[in-house]
Amino acid sequence: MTDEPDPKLPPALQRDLRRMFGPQVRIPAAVDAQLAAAARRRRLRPVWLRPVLVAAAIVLLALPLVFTWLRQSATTTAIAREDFDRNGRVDVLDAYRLALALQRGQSVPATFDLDGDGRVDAHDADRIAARAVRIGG
Amino acid sequence: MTRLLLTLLLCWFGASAGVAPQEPGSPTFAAFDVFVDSGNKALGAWQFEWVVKAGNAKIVGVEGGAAAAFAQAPYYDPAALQSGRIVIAAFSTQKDLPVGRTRIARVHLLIGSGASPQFEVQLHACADGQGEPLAATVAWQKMESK
Repeated sequence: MTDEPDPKLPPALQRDLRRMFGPQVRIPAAVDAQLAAAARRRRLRPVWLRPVLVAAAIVLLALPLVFTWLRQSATTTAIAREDFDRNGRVDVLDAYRLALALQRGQSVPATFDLDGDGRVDAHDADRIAARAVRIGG
Repeated sequence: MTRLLLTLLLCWFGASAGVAPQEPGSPTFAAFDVFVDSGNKALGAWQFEWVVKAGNAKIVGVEGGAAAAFAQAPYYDPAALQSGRIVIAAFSTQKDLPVGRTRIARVHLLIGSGASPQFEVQLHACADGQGEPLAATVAWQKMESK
C-alpha cells in the first residue's frame, strides 16, 4: 500500500483527504511559548491599567468639580464686574472710588470699561451708580 | 365808588379761582427733605433707601440737595417711581463738599386717603471726600403739602 491517492478519486476529495489526514504543521516551541506568554499577560493585566477605563473614571470624578468651579466662577464674575472696591457688594462707593481714581490719574483695570467704549471714564462710574440703585437687583 | 366795588368784585373772583376746593380724602402731594449729618468731615458720597412702611403713598419724584456738590438729581431707578420703595444715591468729586448737616435730596410723594403713611429711611453707604467710609446719620422732614 502506498500514500499515493487513488487516481480514481475526484481531485476535490483527494484534497480534502490530504487536509484531514495529511501531515500536521508543527509550530516551533519558541513561537508557541511566546504566544502563550502574550495571552497570559493580556489575561492578567489589571483593570486600572486599561487606558479607556482610566480616562472614563477621571472624567466621572472630575465632572462635579468642574461644575462647582464653573458656578462659583460665574457668580464671582457677576459681582466683580461693578464691585470696584471688591467688598462683595455694589453700592455708590464703588462708583465714587472709581471716579476718584480717575480724577487722581490712577491706573484702572480695563475690566471696568462697563459700557464697552474702549476706555474707563466717568460714564463707567455712572453705570456703577445706576447699578447700585437698581430695584430688584 | 363803582370802581372800588368793581375792584373788590374782581379780587373776590380771583381769590375763588386760586383756591380750588379740596375734596375730602383726595390724594395730596408732599415733599420730604432728607438730611445727612457728616459731623466735621466732608460728605463725598451717600446712598439711602426710602421705604413706605404703611399707608397709601407712592414716590413720584426725586430732587437733588442743597449743596452745590449734590444739587443735581441723584441716581435712582426710574422703575421705582410709583412704588413705595426707592434707593437714591449720589457722589461728588468736587473740591467744595458740604460738612455737617446738609440736605442731600428731596423726595416727592403722592399720598392717598386713609391713615397717615409711615416711612423708613436707611443710610446704606456714606463716604468722605477721600472715599473712606463715614459714620453719618440720616434724617427726614416733611416740607410742604399742595
